Amino acid sequence: MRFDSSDIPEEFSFEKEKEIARSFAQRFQWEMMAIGIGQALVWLLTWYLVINSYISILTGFFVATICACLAYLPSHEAQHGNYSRGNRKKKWLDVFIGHFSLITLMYPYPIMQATHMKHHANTNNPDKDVDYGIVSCKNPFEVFLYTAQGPGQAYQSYYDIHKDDQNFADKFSRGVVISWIQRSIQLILVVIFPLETLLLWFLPRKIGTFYTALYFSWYPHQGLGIGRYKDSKFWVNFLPRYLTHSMQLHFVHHLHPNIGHWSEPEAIIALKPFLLARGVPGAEQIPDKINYRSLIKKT
Amino acid sequence: MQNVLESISIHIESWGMIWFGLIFLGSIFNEFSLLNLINISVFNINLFPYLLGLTIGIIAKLRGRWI
Repeated sequence: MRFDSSDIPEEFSFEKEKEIARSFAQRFQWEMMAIGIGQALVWLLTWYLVINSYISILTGFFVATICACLAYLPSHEAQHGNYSRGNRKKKWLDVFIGHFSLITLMYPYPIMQATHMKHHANTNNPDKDVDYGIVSCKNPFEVFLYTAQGPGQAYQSYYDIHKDDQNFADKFSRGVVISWIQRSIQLILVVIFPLETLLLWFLPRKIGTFYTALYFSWYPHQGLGIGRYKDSKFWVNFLPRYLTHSMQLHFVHHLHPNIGHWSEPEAIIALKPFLLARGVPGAEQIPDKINYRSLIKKT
Repeated sequence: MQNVLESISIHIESWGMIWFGLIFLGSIFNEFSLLNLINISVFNINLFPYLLGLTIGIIAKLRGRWI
């Protein structure tokens, strides 16, 4: 593996790589916005339909679970500011979609944003990466147990490590209050609508959390070390890429987080020669054309 | 304000699992108990499911984890 930039020919320099990446970081990510707002509205509508007996609670559970699986990624785009693209007038879009998309998963957006930035800065660092608890699981069943259990005191530990970063500490504190409000709402709802809260919120949230942890954290980072070009990998499984949010390409997100998620498949094809030049494992499996199945060819 | 938030934080950290067991699990068990015959009813509140939820919450707190 050639990660030392001095070995890389000029035509594949990091500056040129960045220039290509920047060309995929311009377009407004309306698809992700539609998914984020859409799934949250469908989830709220499901409550109305179930409570008024227009649909069965099991149908509602199925719909709510799909919504929960779609909830994180639109907020993740907001965490990187990929809706506003640095335009202060559009900043509200990041904040709105970031918060609204996450109601299905009951995650506080400020904590997600603060910890995700630390994840990018410290990927796979056992002490500093908030996702390391997931990444250190040995198999998907351990990921299931980890997410079913919840993070416990892990977030408190990460807060203690990063609290000297004032921006992190402020966001974290705001997120804690939002988390209390979310939990209180759930506890009030469960007294009034016990089964609905269980099957439309609690269980879909757990399933959505497991799905997100498995495909966004475990598959792309499991078993890897620390450092650019080293902490993420291309991977493949039997599922079509739309069922895994194209997370086979999470590698490119770690290289260039400002590339919009919807543009990543096109970007990775354009960046393929650069990754090949650096000897990135799995780069040779990137196809020359986008398809609807897994983007990385099986070896 | 900061003191209030800190007090809430400490309370949730210490008692969160127990409250969750009592209110969340208790409410779920109570709903299911409507289908069976175990019914220790006081003021129209079925106590047994809430006691079960509270017990699970206390056990989780003592173990430090749910599973």
